[in-house]
Amino acid sequence: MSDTELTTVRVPLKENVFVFQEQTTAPTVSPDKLTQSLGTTGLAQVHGANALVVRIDTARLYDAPVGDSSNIVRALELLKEASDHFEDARKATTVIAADRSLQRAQKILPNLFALRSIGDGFGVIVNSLYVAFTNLRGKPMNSKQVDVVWRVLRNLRNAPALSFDQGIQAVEELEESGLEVDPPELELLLGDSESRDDD
Amino acid sequence: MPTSMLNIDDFAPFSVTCELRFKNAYLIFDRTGKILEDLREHFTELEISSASPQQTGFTAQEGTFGLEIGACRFTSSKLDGTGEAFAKQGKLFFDTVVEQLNVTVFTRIGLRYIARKEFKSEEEAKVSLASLALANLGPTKRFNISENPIEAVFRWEDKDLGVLFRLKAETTTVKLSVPPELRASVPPLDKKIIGITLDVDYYTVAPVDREQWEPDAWVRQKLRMIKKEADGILAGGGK
Repeated sequence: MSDTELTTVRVPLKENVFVFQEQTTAPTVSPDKLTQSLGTTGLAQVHGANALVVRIDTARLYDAPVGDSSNIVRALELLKEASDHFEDARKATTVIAADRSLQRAQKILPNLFALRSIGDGFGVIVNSLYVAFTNLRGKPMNSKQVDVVWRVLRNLRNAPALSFDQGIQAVEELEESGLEVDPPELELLLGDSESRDDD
Repeated sequence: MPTSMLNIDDFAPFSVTCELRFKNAYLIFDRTGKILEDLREHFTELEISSASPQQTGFTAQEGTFGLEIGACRFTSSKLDGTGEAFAKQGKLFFDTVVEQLNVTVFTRIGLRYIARKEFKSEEEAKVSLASLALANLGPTKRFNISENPIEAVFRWEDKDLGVLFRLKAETTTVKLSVPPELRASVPPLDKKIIGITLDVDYYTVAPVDREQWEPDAWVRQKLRMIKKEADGILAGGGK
């Protein structure tokens, strides 16, 4: 694999010659004494947006030594835990077993809520899930809702840095499944405003 | 287990660079100016150092930036203990570039940390490097040159991630030429820095989707990892 480059000097590309930069470019700290060679390069190393190469697993991307307490690592762990509970709920054979798994997942949400600063998309999804659970007021989710939340959680774990717009798309999916993602206070405020408009 | 005389705290940070590579982004021909205008709101005294349609270099008080058709990078030599400022500034830069160039997949993300420990003489630096016993080579003169290598390079890589780890005993010369008419007020500089350079390049091998990568968190986490692992190699005498 090519390395992070040392210099910004570019070798002109020649016909039929593939040059793979060997390092992440950084200010030169000493004259680059490496002999230029094409021997270590190969087309098998080519990656690109259109290359048929499997993307890195998100957990691997944020692979951390034991004891690393960064928010992103914690969030990925919690998302995995929550989506596992939802998966258990999907596979459960009784309503009680499914509900028990969902209650376990619900307990994780406050911790995810505390980490919502990870990104705009992350924040809006976690916020909506938190409110959706609250608005259920103890009622169990139906199987379609369980499927949708499970999928949203799983996607969020794969793409924790998604944009606000992508987050909104996921929230719309939750809404389409019948979950209420707006806080009850908002309805009261909107109700007041609408009644004032009527007056 | 032999222990060396070195640890990561002996090495003063020289520079840290974060670089993204991606498939050629042809929007660079339309949006370099827009990127610079956006960045000017976040960085102090942003100025272009070189410009061509495919490659623009610019500097600010916070660091040096490179924008190319297939890559962009941010380098800073002002590294605080946790790298928090670097990570936040990098996020501003990368988010702007990625948004404007409509990059959806990164073919490589690299984080390169360079630090130095100074010694009084080159011989002292070589002995210190040899004391690490990084490679299991006996004290025999090799290639009729020397017993001890002056550079040790290791690479760990799998299908997802890789690291290039380099230690080199070297003398760096810093020269600043001053035109004769200015020499009265600005003395020319000719300084030799003798020491060991630690150079760690952590990078991704597998492609990364834009939605997977949160620059701020990734940079801080990987900087911690680089320092911890480097310290382990230095302190453990290569064991």
